[in-house]
Amino acid sequence: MKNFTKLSILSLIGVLVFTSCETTELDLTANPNALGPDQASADLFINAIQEDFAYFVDELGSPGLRLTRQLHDFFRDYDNAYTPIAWDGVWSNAYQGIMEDIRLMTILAEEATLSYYVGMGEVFQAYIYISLVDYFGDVPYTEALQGSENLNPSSDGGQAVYQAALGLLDSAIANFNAGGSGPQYDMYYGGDAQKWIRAANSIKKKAYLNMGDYSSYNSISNYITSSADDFQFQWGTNVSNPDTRSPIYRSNYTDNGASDFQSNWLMNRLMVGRGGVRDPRINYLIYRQQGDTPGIDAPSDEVLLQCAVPGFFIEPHRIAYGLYCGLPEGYWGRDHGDDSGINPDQSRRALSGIYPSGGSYDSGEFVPQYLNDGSGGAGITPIILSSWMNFFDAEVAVNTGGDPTAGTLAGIESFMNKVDDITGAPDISQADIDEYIAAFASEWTAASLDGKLEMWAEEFMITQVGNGIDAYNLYRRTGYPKNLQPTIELNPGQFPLSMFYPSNHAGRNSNVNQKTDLAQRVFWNTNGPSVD
Amino acid sequence: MKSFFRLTLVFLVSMQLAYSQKTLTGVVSDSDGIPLPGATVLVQGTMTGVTTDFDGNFSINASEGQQLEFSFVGYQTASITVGSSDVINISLSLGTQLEEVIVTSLGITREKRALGYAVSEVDNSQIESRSTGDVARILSGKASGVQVTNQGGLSGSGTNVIIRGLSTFSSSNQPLFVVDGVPFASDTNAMGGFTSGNNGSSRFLDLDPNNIESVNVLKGLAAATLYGSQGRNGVILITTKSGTTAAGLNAQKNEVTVNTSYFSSELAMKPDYQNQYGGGFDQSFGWFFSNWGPSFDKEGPAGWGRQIALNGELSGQPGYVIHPYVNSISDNALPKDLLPLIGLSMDSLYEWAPRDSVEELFRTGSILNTNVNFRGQSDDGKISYNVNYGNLDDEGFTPNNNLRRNTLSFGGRMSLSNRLTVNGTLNYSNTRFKSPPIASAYGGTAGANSLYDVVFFTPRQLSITELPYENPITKSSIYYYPSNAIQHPLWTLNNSEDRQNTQRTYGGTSIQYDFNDNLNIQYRYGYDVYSEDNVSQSNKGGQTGTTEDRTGVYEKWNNTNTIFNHQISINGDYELDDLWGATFNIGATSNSVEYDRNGVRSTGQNVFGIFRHYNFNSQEEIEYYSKRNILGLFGQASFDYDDYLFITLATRTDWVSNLYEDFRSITYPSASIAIVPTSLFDFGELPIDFLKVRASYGTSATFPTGYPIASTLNLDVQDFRVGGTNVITNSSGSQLGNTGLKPELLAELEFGIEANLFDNRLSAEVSYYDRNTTDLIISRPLDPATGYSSTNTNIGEISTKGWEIDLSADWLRGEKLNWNTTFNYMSSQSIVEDLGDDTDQIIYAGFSNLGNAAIAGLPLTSMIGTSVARDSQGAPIVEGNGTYATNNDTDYKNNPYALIGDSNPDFIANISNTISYGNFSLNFLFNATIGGDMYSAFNSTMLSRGLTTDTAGPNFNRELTFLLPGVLSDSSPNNKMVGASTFTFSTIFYASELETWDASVLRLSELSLTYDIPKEWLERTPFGMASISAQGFNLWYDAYNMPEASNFDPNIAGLGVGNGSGFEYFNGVSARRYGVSLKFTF
Repeated sequence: MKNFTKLSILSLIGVLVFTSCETTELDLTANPNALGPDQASADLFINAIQEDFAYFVDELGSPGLRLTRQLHDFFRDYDNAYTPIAWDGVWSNAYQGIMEDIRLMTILAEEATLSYYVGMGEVFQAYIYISLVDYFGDVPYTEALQGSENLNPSSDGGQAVYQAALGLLDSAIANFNAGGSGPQYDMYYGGDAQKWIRAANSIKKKAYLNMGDYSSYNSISNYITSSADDFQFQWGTNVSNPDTRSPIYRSNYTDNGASDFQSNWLMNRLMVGRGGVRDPRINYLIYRQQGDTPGIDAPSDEVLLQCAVPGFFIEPHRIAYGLYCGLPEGYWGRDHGDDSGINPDQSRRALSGIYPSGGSYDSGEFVPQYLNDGSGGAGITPIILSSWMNFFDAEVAVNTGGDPTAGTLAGIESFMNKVDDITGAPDISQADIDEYIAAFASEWTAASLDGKLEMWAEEFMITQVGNGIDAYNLYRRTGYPKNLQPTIELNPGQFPLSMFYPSNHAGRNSNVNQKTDLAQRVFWNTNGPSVD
Repeated sequence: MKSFFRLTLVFLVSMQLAYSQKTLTGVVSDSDGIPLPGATVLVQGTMTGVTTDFDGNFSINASEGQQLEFSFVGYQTASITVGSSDVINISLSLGTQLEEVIVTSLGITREKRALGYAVSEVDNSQIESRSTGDVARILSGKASGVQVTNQGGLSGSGTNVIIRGLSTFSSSNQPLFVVDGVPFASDTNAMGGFTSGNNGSSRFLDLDPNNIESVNVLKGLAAATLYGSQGRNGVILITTKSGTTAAGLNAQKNEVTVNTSYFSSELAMKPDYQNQYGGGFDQSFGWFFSNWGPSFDKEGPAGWGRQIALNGELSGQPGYVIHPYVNSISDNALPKDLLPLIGLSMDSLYEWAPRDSVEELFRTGSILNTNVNFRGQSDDGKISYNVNYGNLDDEGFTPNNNLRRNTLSFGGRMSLSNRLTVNGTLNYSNTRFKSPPIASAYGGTAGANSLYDVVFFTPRQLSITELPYENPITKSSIYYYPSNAIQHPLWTLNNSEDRQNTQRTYGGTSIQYDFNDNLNIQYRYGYDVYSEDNVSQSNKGGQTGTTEDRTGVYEKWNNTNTIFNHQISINGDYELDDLWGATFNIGATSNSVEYDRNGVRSTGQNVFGIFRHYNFNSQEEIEYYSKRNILGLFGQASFDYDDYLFITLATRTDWVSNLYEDFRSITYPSASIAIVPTSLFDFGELPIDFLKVRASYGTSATFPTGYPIASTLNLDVQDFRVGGTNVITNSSGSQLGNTGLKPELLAELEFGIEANLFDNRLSAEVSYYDRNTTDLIISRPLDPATGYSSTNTNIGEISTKGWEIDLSADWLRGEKLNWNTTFNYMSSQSIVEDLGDDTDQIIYAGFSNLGNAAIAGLPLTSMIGTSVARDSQGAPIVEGNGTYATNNDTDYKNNPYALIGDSNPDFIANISNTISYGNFSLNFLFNATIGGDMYSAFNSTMLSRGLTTDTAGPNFNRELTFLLPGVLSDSSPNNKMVGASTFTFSTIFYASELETWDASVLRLSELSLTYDIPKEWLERTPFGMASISAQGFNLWYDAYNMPEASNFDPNIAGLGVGNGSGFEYFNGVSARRYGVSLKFTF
């Protein structure tokens, strides 16, 4: 009996322990909450890559606009305007977000001989590498994207990376020429390989221009010459799940008004126009929520705009420059580097207009703009426009002893027409275009070469709204426009000739040392002009 | 020699037979007459012995003249010579304090004197009848080494518990809760992170403190070895009243105990607002967030008489301003024709006068708490039971915040035969928590709905409660700010809430078979299942958060967490000879934790006010699953020699399911020794009653949670849209899988000394520990140029050192008057010794530029943030506008000033006094947390926005101009005079260094006065005992190094329950509670 009891207890325990195998399974390492890397598809990769690339351009392009006064910049001194940590997002998107996906996509696409996909990946990769060199100087290329093989990839010299990018573009052109169809969603060129080839060639020209290699620049002929071929990303109007709106629209058209400021310099440039003729693009680029500006052409209001209240202290160097605080007629933005507290002016200040953000066309109604107003965010992020190619041509012409006039005028006209063609806004009358171009031309003719270059650069800047990568390059490359608005702070420190390395690059990679200052020039700019 | 031995034995046996044996019976009880079950009765000098049954009854054969020895753990041993009587009743008196029995790991009871490590005990008198239903908050201050931080004063909010400091930053540092021998889930599943609102209870809230018999805290690794890696952060061992019955302790005759209390709760953190100036900047009026506007007096340079907005020039009536809602008509917040619907017209004015509305928003909460306990046993003592029911109804001081809890538990035990015992506990609880959402904010508008956010810095001329909060047609939020960027707090309150409804059942069964008195085998099965239904909702029309949030959000999901635990052990207890004794336990255990989250998030509300998924345009899934199994083998052997030397050796090996095969298992041994010199030497005249020195060495491991070694691919079916069709994308995961990941290793050395002095009037216990964590599991941040952003790897080392002191003094021990003081002290410091060669700094909590950082050579509790820029001499640099230049580089290597503080306090000390006179007893618990820094958005906002008396009146004349100390860019002394609002607003807000204060705080945590109703009064009533008590909690505190008028309470975990500390983002304000409780038995 005793033994039986013992036996039955032991077997009961045994049964309980061994039926508990649910609790004893020891191989539970696969994550059921996500797909495994082996389940990837080239088509889904190319979708992600195309969208992420647009975000990359927008995110990297915005500081370029701010540094060149095309958008308001919120910091009094340059050292703190763009700290290492500010670049973490764009760096992470470039390598981990886009280029690792391109690497994995390319493996799948090559297996399936999808050369068109491979070509797209190469164009994106080349543009990203060139832009990263433009901003940061030396960046990892040969040791990049090796995963656990190399956790501390060393950087390559900027010039080597440029050469590699040019090689990628040549390979892309070959891939597009190889035939083969594009993906279901070609968000840039709708499956037209020839347009991709022109885009690739345009990026090559831009690289040669930066490097000062004008003969190589001139040797390329099949590039973007019509705005129908413009390399740009089209945003949508869906607010959420997914949010497909232009990132600029998102920060300008909200339930509570704008969270970004327009640049007083740019608005002034457009208002003043040429020879007394206001730039007709102003109504497309800028939207005014009210028709006058407190303290400028309306009674002063310390709640809305303190710097326009009589007696407010304005630094002498700003007064000497002649443009500060605000402009009349509701063109109400902020001065370069103004970091004072935010006034409750979100429904009053000027907004980004219908171009490029997909906002509202300014027809002089002066209505506060909110979420979904205007074109609902269906704007674009420009990457390379035909007008930019014209301005590039003008610069090359000057540097090779030629005349910048044709390129400049073509650029103005081309961009004028691009803005004019936007749906959701009336056309600019040809008379207005002609009048402006005539006024420009007469001012141009009277100007010295220096004056011409100033005008050329200002006009180029206007076309850069939406993507300041080339504005930042242009400013460092040529030193024009020389008459940009100064910062509020008299001594804002070194203008960034290249940016600090991102903190997730310098702080996490033992082969990278952070720059000590912002005075390091990128390889193509070693003899560049001094800018501030 | 051998034969002589045999001969003697025969002689002895025959001697014994020569006496006439008889059967003796009797009862062993304590000095109050309560029977002691399980007491040992031995015939001295023989091997004959029995134990008493549940009624304390024994029956033993002995002869007259023999000595019977009666012993029971915790009581003084007594002996009686057998006389003519056949009945012997004896009462044992309590032993000295240090001979008390302690429940150690896996429920093994041992005498405290035998332990080589520190264990803190808290008994039920210190736990029951409290104003909070949260056992961890009640433990605060009562056990040295335990640091408890409230997430806030919201009823049902989470609680952060850390024992002996942080030892890792990649995994949880929260201790293991073990309830009646079964691991108990104590997770806090916050509804969103701290940025979007971290409402959510810590799941130990499902325990009713009134059902707790005792709590033991195992602090060190040696103490918790048998719990394996789960015990690495310390163990809170809770024995419930039901569990007590199940364990066969304290069984009593049938008794019913009722415990009921009523408390009020109110906002403790009320700033002292100034009523001299209203909203604006630079003494000029404006509808800003800030309060640097004109005076409420007409005259004077800052008087409203000089402001056209206020002096009647614009409004037509002096002292009145155009009503803010009329003022914002042009900003489209509220169309003109709707004004009459909220009782306004285009002519409406608003008086320029101070209003006190912050307090009006809050209410006086009430807490009603009732607990009924039934316990009893069968007449033969073979069956005993306990039933406990508890009800808590806690209405917080924050409107729409409440906590309702019902708990029911059963415990029982049955002796099937002499050798087989079955016992079990079964608990059910239902906890319902509701609160307005509370997201983090810096003193501007929050990134998500947050009730506390804009409330505390409402400009003084505004009344939150009087201003209409919704557009009468669209029901969207309206408020005073012109662009309507501020969501009205009443709108938040009326249109958004978070709810958590938790059903939970847990318990266990154990079966024990005794082979003989020395050896048994035990199988224990434990389970714990909770199902947490969460709802987070907000109507459309809010003004806070993302564009999507404003379209209306309805999230509903369930978290089901299941723990199964099996354990089998063989336990032995042998006297090796007269001097040596030994016990051993060997066993195996399996633990499985499964977590399953399922739900739907809907956005885009159609009909206002309806929260059902069908009423929303767009749905997304909420889904997460994880399962982890741990298998363990353990063994422990302890030896004692002559009552003065105690040695314990233990080891455990664990296997975990989420690591690669080769790195799946780890073995961690421990050893401890205790020596009691007072049992070895005679200390003569010295006033030493008891002395023990102890040392231990323990090891443990941290296993990662989730799926740390897997590489993943992200699939997004709604990533973009082209031509109205969703574009599906996949992209590589940011984490690089690492199959080489190993468990983290912890090792701890602990030394201690325990003493009783002066006739046991003074007792002292001092512990020192030194813990090292190596092979840290670090989510190593990777340069994205590798293609990945992080990989889990083992690098680095953290060391934690600390002291714990417990003192107790009986100043007065009289018939009527007694006075006892207990004191505990803890200090601990965790230092990051190494982070590997490739990593300088890892932000492990908070924001990447404002959070807790691990930096080699610095405390693990370091805080990183933006700083004031300094020149090469270290002098602050002042910019052209007279404010500080800031340095936004938060990498410590580049900018050492980015180290804005260390949140770890220098020490925490608690003093508790109990003074009793007759039936009255007065108790108070006083806490001092000294040192430690806190970034406080609340404090910085009160100063920067000019709300409190710190920024007006005699403390600070805001009408003067000010000069910041520092140098200009040319190194000359600063000479740029600025106004008060620039001096504060444009300075403090611009560098988090300036928003950080020393968080030292003194606190009167508990105060109570209890009256035990005299027994003679109760004689004719059915009551056995009754007592009434008046109590108050958090009645007074002073964070004396923080801005005086903010009245800030730093006991706030702004980053939520986790490893982060020292940050406050307007997401917690503390409560004060007071009330009465009543306890009686019948």
